[in-house]
Amino acid sequence: MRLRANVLLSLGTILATLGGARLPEVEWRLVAIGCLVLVAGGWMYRAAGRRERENASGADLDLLASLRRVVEELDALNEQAPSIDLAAIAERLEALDTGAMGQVGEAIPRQIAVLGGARFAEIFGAYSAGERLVHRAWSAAIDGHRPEALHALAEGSQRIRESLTLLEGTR
Amino acid sequence: MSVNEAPARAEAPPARPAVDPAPPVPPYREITVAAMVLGIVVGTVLTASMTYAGLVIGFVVPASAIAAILGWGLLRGVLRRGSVVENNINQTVASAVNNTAAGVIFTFPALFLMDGVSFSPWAIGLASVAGAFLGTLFIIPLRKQMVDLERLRFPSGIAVAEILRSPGASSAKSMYLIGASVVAFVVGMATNAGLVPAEVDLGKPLGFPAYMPNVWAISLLSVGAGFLSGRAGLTVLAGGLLANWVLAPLVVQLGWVPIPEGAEDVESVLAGTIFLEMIRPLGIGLLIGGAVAGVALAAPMIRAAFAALETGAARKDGDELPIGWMYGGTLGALALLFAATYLGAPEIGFLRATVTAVIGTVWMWLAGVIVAQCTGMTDWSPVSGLALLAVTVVLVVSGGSVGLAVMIGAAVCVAISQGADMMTDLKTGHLVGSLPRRQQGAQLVVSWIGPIVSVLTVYLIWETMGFGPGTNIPATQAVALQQMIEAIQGGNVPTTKYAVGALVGALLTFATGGGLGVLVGLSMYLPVNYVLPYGLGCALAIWVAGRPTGKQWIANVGIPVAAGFLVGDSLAGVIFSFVELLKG
Repeated sequence: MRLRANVLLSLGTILATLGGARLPEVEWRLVAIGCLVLVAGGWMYRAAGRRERENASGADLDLLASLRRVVEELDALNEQAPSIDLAAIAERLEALDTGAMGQVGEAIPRQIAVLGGARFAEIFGAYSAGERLVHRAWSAAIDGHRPEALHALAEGSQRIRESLTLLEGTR
Repeated sequence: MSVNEAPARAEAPPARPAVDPAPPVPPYREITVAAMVLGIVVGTVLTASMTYAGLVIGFVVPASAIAAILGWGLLRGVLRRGSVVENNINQTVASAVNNTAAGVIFTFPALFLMDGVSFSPWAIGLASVAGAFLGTLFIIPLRKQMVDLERLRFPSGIAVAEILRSPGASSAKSMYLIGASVVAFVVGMATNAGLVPAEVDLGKPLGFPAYMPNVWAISLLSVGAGFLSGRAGLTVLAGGLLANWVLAPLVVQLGWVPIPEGAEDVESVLAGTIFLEMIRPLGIGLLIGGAVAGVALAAPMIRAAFAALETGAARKDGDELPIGWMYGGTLGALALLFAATYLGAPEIGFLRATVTAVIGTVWMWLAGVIVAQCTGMTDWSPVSGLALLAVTVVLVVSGGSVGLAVMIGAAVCVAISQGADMMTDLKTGHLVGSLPRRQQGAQLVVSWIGPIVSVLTVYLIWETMGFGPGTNIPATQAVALQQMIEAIQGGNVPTTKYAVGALVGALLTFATGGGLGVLVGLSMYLPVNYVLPYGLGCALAIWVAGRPTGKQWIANVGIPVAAGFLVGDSLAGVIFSFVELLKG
């Protein structure tokens, strides 16, 4: 269904822009036909999206699992951070950023359609703020500033935990 | 990796004065005098140079990457105390000052080239300053939506973050970044200097007609930007192919392109007409319709962002700049724009001046959203097309006042450049962990400098050397605007093409719930010679991501190499501009 929707969207775009391109006057009938095809394609695209979301509980679980893994790893790092050197903290944060946090980051935009704009903004606004603070902890660790690294790490973990709690509340 | 540590905070205050107290921990360096001064100096020097170079060679290059590299050299190398986020503030300031040059050179010089047009350079400077403030202020509430939630890529933002993070990155990553920068620098210098061709025409040997261009720019910057954009950028390639390889031959076959009598190279005439009079206006319309629909769809998220700003305003340590600053600043800048409008063209009267200032302000907001989205998704910004629309609208509203139209056009150009730059820097800041409100504050404090330096430079060049056709300083962008204004004055405005484009752009965006209308519009607006290498970069990223260890390879090798391409090509542009400056 998604493929058919994409074909209709492409065809509608070609027809409407072709009609619009005509010189000196626009070919309005072609524009109208193209727009109708676009509307049909859009309807199919959204229907396909709804169907995929209904069957996508597995992907949601993956996101939830990834987010839980991020929180667990951050909790563990928070506990050990005062007693390990900054280079090790930076290394673990970098691994987290390219690993579990990267997976969460990739999955986030798809959640807009699932959660709706306002709820999505509430949940993942907190996550993104936490992610930025984790990046700050990495920067501070690289710069040799332990107090800022620990502070940003603790605050970032807290915001990401908030996001997990909110997401679990929607399931 | 070894790191020199600052001591940890004391857990509890000592019960009595310690005999040998630990030295106090200095706060983490972020917004410092050194970062601000360095950013202002680098930005100002680059603004004056780029204004001149832009008039000579027709393009300017962004300052962020250069400022970040200089920042490491001076803040950490010479002063021995720079931090990652402090250098982020330095590059934010430098690019905030420098990025206005593009807006000024596209618009302001056109006034000098047109006979009988009265204008006031200081009023244009004032309007550009208002534009700089408004462009920054309008984009701040959208940070949460574009950077945090939609997670737009902003390839240049990623590239600069790679430079900022390089002292802590693995040595292999740093080597990839440096190696790719060197390769892109060499290629960029060679193409700028004409030692190797700037593009390769594959269409001719394959038998493509001229109106179906198959021309590839030798641009590692485009390949790198495409790689960093990933899947989202592939739409740009599809749109570019649709416009140039599907629409173009269809309109020719249908006989819908008029051919002037006596034209010698018919195919080239067709190619010019199709791109300038058909595809480009449709593309601009798609951009506008797509952006308006995108804003409507994102309304709940934008409301949530405003709510967060209101909440943050009550907290001293909120992420964003207090919303009161934004309301106050917007009103102040609007008053400045009105003053520039009224005092710069008193003949239009109070009411028309007010209407013009309000229309200019609304357009700055909408155009700022469009450009920030385009930059976020692809790294390209359709500044000139949106400024041209602003000039057209103001020409109509002001009853044909060219001086006023170009003045508002300059303000719009500066505003949208500032908005896109602010959002790119905020993306960089997100990746290195800067506090958004500090970046926003730093950009606001310096954003007035660039327009003044740029306007003064143009004025000085005109008074001392002159510019335009037949001189050593051709001012190609300004000549193009002059020709467009003359066409508009002759009644040649493709309003129906804009309208059809806007309708298609809105439908595409509503249909897919994303930025599809904007992406397709941008792909039709851009010359295909840059779209093709960009698409190659996107396709490469998608192919690699699909391999078993592809994502890991992208993180460790692909991103530093692509970022290096952007940095090296930009550096080549700057060095080439300086060489031109010395020659001049």
